[in-house]
Amino acid sequence: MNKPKPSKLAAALGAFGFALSVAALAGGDHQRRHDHVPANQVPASASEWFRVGEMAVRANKRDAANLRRAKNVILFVGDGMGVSTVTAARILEGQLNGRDGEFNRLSFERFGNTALSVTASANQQTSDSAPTATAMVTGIKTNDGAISVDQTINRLEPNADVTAAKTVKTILERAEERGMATGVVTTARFTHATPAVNYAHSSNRDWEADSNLPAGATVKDIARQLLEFPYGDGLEVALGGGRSYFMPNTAADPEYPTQKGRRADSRDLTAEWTAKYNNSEYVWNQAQFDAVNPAKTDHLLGLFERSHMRYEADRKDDAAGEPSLAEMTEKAIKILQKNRKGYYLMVEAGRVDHAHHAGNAYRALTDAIALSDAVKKAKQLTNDKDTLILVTADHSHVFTIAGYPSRGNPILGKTAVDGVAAKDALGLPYTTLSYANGPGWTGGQQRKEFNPANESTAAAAYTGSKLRPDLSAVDTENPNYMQEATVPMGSETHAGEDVAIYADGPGAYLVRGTLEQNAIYHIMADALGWNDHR
Amino acid sequence: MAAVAVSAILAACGHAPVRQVAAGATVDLAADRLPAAAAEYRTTVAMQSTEHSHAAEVLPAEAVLWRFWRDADQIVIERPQLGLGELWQRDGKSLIHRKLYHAERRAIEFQEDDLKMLGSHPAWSKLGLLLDPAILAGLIAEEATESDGTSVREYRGSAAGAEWHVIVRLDLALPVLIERETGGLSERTELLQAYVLAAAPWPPTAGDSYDNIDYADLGDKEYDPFVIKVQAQYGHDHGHSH
Repeated sequence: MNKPKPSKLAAALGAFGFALSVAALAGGDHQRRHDHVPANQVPASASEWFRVGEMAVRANKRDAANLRRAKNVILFVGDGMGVSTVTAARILEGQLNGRDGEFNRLSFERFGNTALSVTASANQQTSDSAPTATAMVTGIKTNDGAISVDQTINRLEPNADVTAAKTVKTILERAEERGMATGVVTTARFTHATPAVNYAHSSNRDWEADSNLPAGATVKDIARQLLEFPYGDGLEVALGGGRSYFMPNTAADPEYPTQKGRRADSRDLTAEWTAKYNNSEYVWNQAQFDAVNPAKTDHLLGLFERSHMRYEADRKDDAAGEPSLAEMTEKAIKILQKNRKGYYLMVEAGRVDHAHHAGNAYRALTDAIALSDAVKKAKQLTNDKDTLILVTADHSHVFTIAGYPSRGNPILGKTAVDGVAAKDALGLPYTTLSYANGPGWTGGQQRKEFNPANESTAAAAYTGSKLRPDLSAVDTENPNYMQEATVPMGSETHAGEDVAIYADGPGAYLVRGTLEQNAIYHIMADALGWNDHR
Repeated sequence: MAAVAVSAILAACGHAPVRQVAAGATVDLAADRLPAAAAEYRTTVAMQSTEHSHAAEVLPAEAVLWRFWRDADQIVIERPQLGLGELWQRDGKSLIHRKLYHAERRAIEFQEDDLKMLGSHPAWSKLGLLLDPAILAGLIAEEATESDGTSVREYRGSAAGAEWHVIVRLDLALPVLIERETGGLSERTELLQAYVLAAAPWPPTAGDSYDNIDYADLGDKEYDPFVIKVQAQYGHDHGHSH
C-alpha cells in the first residue's frame, strides 16, 4: 500500500519541526554540556575520577552537529598562547584563587569543541604573527610578514597597485559588505600584525605609520588604512595601544608629554576618526573609556598607550589608567550588538607573546588569564544559540613545563616532590617552567638574578665550576623572575608545534581534528552562512 | 686621603673645574634632581685572567671615552668611539629608556615594564649620579675638601660585593673618580671634563628622527639584520646588561 503523500503544510511543519528539534537539541545540549564540566571539587578517589571521566564521555556522546547559523562571530586570539601556556595559566589561575590548579579550567577550556591548528605558513615551518593571523581571517596561507596579501607578493612591495592585486579580502571586510558591525580589540598596538590583518593589506607588517614606509612607497601605512577603510560603514570598534602611530610627530602625547607622535604626514588620525563618523568617540584613558555610553556611541576608537598597552600585571601602575581586556570586550560587544545583522569581533591578548619573548612566564600567564576573563565576559553577554566564539593562538612559544613536580606545587616555583626540591644532574634545583631559548640563558656563569630588595639585579650564585646558578635562595615566583633558557638569544622565539582551537556556539562542531590554521576563516564563514550548504 | 692627594688625582684625571664652572654650594647627592651638567669620562676595565676565558674576551681591551648629559628629566650617555648612546627620560611616574645606535640611525625603546622584566629598572638618582647613592651611603666618607675652589668628598669601602674608591664633586654632583674591584675585575672611571649643562661644548647626538623599535617587538623582527646584530649582543649579555 502506497503511503499518502504529505501535504505541503505537513512538509512545512515537518521542516519546521526539524528545525525546532535541532534548536531544542542544541539548547539542551548546551545545558548538558555544562553539567559535565568539573566542579571545583577535585575527585578524591579512584571511583570519583572514574565517574568524572565517564560523565565527560557521556556528555560528548550527546553532542550533535549544530546546524544553526551564527549571527555573530567572536574570534579570540592569544598571541603566542601555545598549549603549554594554556596549561600553565590554568594551573596558575587555580593556585592564585586557592584552588587545585591542575583541576582548574580557563573559561574557554570549558567549551565543548576543540581541535589542533597547524600554524606553519606558506614559507615558514615556525611562523610569525602576520601570516598566521592572515590565515585565520582570510582563509589562505601566506608568507612571513604579510598582512592579508597572498604569498606571491614581494616581502617589501612598496607599490599600492601591486599590493592591491595581491590583496585577499578579510572576514571583517566581508562582514562590513554585508552590513554587519565589526570590531577589533587588542592589548598590542592596534597596528600590530594580528589586529592589522583584519583591516589592512601590506606586504610588510612593520609599515605601521607613514614614517616606517620606504621612500617612494605608494602603499598606505597600516594606521592610515584603518581611517581609509573602504568597506561598509567602517569599523565600529577599534581598541588597543599604538597611539603614536596615529599622531603627528609634532604633537605631544597626552599621557607622556615629553614624547611625540610618529606620523610624518602631519595627519592626526584620532581627530580624523571623530570627524569621519557620526556618534563617534576617541578615548585614551580609563576615565574616558568608562564614560563611553555604548547606546549612544556607534564608532569607538580607544588608544591607551603610545605603543603596546601595559601587561595585565602592570596595568594597575598606569598613571592614566587602562581598561582590562575583559572591559574592552564588554564595551565592544555592547556597541556591536546594536546591529541587527550581527557582528564580527576579534579580541587579541597581544602581550602573551611579548612576555614570552622576554623570558618572563609570569606576565605571559597573567595575560593569558586576562584573555580567559575576557572570554568569560563575552559568554555572559552573548547567546550561544546565535554567537560562535572561537579561542585560539596564532603560534606557540618554546615554553615548557618540566620535571615531575607534585600536584599542587607552585607552577612558578622550583620543581619539588612532596615539598622536597628536585635536583638536576649537577645537584641543583630547577624551575618547573623554562624556555628552550631566550634571554634567560645561564651558561658562561654570567647570569644575574632579579633582586627584589632594590628592583635591580645581582650576580647569580654559581657553585664552583657549575654552569647553572644555584636557585636555592632565588624567589622564582617573583613576577620579574626570568626563567632559564637553554640556548642564548636576545629574545625567546616562537615554536612550531600546533596550537589549540576552542569553540562554542553555532558552527562549533566544525572544530575537530587537526586543521590547517586557515580553516578557521572557513569555519567562521560557514557558521555565518556565507558558504551556505544548509 | 689628604686634600693634596685628592688634588693629585684630580690633576691626573685632567680635571680643571675652576676654569669650566663656578664653584657653588654642595648638593645632596641622593636628591631627586641633581644640577644640570655635562661631563666627559674615561672608563678602563681590566680583568685578571680566569679559567673562564670566555668572560675575559668580552671585556673591552681599551679605555672607553664617554660623555654624559644630565637635565632634570633627561639623561644621555654617549660612547662616540662605538657610535652608541643611551637615553633615559622620566615622564611623570614613567621611566622611558632608549638605546641609540647612531650609525644605523635606529633606537630600541624599553618601556617601564620591559625594564622590570630585565631587572634593569634603575632609580633616577642612580642614573643621575652614575652611582647608586645607597652604595655611596655604605662607604666610609671623608670630610669634604676644597680643590681648585671646588668641594669634593672621597669615599672608600666595601659594598655590593665590591671594593670602592670614589671621589665626588659636590657642586655639580658628579663623580670625579670611581674605582671598583670585584672578582678579578678592576674598573676605573675618571672625569675628564665637566660643565654646567648650558656651557657644554658638545651637545648629545639628536636621535629624534631615528627609527624606534620597541624592545617587545624584537622577537618578531627576526628577519631584520639590525635586530639580528642587536639580539646577538643581548643574548650574550643575557638581557641583564644594564
